[in-house]
Amino acid sequence: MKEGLAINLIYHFGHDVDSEFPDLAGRYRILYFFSEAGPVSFESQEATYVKLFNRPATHPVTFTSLDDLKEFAMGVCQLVKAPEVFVLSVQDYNVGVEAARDVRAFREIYRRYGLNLSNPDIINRGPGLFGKFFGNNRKP
Amino acid sequence: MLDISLTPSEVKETESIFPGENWFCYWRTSAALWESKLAALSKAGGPLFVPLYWGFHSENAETFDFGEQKPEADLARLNRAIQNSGHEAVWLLPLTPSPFQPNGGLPSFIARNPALDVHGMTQSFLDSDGSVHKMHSFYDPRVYQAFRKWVWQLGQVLSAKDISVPVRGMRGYWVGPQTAHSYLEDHSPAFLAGFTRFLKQQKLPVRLSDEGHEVPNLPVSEEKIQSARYRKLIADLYTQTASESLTTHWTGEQDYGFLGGAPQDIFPRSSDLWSHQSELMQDLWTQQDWSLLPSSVLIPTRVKRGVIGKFLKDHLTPSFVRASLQQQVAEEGEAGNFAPLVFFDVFWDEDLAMDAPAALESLGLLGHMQRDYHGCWRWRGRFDFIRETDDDNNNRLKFFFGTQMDRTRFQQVLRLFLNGQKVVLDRSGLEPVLEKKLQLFMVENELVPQDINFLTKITMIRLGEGMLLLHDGTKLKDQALPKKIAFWEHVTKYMQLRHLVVRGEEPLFYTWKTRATGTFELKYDEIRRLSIYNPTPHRMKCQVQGSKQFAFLKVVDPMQAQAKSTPMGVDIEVMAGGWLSLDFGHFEG
Repeated sequence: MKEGLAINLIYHFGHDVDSEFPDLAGRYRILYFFSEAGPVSFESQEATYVKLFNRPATHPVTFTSLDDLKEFAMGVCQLVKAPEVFVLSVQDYNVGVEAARDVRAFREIYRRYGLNLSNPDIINRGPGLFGKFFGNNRKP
Repeated sequence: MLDISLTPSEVKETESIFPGENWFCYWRTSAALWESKLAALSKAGGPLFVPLYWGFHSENAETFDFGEQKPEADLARLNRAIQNSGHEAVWLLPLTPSPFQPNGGLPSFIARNPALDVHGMTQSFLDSDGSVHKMHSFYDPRVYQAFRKWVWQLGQVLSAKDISVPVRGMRGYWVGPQTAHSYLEDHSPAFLAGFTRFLKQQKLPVRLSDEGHEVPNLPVSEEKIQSARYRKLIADLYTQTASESLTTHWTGEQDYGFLGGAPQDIFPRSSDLWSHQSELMQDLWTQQDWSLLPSSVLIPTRVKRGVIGKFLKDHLTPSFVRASLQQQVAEEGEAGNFAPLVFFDVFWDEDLAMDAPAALESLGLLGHMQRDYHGCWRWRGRFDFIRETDDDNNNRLKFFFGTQMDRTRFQQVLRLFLNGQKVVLDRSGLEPVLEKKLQLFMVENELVPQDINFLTKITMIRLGEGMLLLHDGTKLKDQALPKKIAFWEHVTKYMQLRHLVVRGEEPLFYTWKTRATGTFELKYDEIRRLSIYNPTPHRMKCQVQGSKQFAFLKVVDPMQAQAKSTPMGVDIEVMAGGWLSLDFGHFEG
């Protein structure tokens, strides 16, 4: 997994009408978890799940609460050293895609319609030597 | 063929108008430019395909535009431009949502219900020019009513303006791992409303969901079967409506597989950093297995420059496309043409296609075919047997399954055997009445079955050229995989199939083709061509294992690849992004 790229997670909440997935009723299921460079590996997801919840992960990974899912998303974000993770429900995605006319607008869906969780390990790290000279986050 | 003297913006425009495989998207350029654009297009690429864009001709429910408002909607002028350019054209009428047209092809006034995938996500697709197209449900009754009007108007215009063109219904598909999916697969509320109405008509149970909507109240497996039936009913309705309105122009239907057209493909395809060449290549194989005519219109030219482009060029030859249109098995045209080498036809109801790979996997048949006959078998989703009238198709081994048999299909299977075809029937799940019919058939035709016990009871019956092999799949399922594969190896050996074995590190991307021998090759019975492609970023190594019945003849068209003949066979090395082909002479006997 390429470091330094934001990651995106799209999840589905299982309603009782989802007869295709009767076992997932009332659960949050990860549908897509990826960065611009490709999918987040299942190994990274599994390692994070075991570390956080102390039990083996199912494939696909599911959660009983949205808070657990967010905690998991942040855990993976830290593991793969991504600066941030955008968490979207299927409904968020659908609203975003409805408005997207081209690929540029599509790429913005995650940032515009997703819940943004920043990786504290990277945000608190501060700028490096290069960033001190050339970074934009100077104090006024 | 693109003219290399064009400027980058002209190239971009040409790519948009001709996005691949000789498709002409007439609405993407000015009508004044049609003739010059068509004149610049080479005729060597085979027939010109003109997909019709419903939404472009219908801006509201009442009026249609066939050139009265927009010159680009003038189909008579379009026909003249095509005729003047000297191209032979086939017009394509989408019978499913189309991933390369805005709103999936629907006019915006009825694009109200987005088509949803199984997780409820809007089905959206990235076009070659970076546009995002969203599909809308064909299950909305208003869409069907509007479609009926559209095809009726189209038929009227073609007749009134004396536009005599062949129109072919285009059924669009996308492929996932091992399976093909129609763009009519939809889980939107519009689908659900229609489906529950259908269930109620069948007197099958529905219930109210927590949200107060009517939903099916059936076991999951039964719901799957019923929803497949409903989907087929609606698909047939659209096809029938179109064929009846365009009677004199209608030339049947064609199944297209859109490369990069799976709903989930939008994620890798919208990224510049996500390499997905191997996935696209894998999709081409799956399209081939499902007998879909590949269309790369969604893929930008820059992606098609390398291995993907080479594969498309090698396989979508004009003669292959023509043969597909005529639903022939062999390619027509001058002698010396290579046609795909196919040993097996696997018949499985297309509406239950998603279950097919797992079912075959459990029998060990899928593993056997993928390992030893990679790319040399086809799923047949329709039991239409149109292709069986073609004499060249007699050698294909045909697999049928008892669970898929009804009285009509069973009769057809027995007729195939009587007509000299080689048939393998898994009799598990066969209805008792059909079992009885089978016994009666053997007595009536004085057939003498030979029984063998090998993992399961095998019954073999011969009649002239025809061969019928019966086995019980339930007993096979319980066996270990190597044993199951050994079972199929014996079956194919008994059927006298001869093929070269290719072994190497996965994933291996290769195809086999065959052609008749020429004047200077008479010592062989046929020439087989193995083409190997490497879309991965790594070096690929493999070996074609030697066989007494094959002679290695030559290496063809190598690109960053080499082959070396050894006492064990032929060792092949293909660098990242490379390809090569090898010709082998085959001796019978």
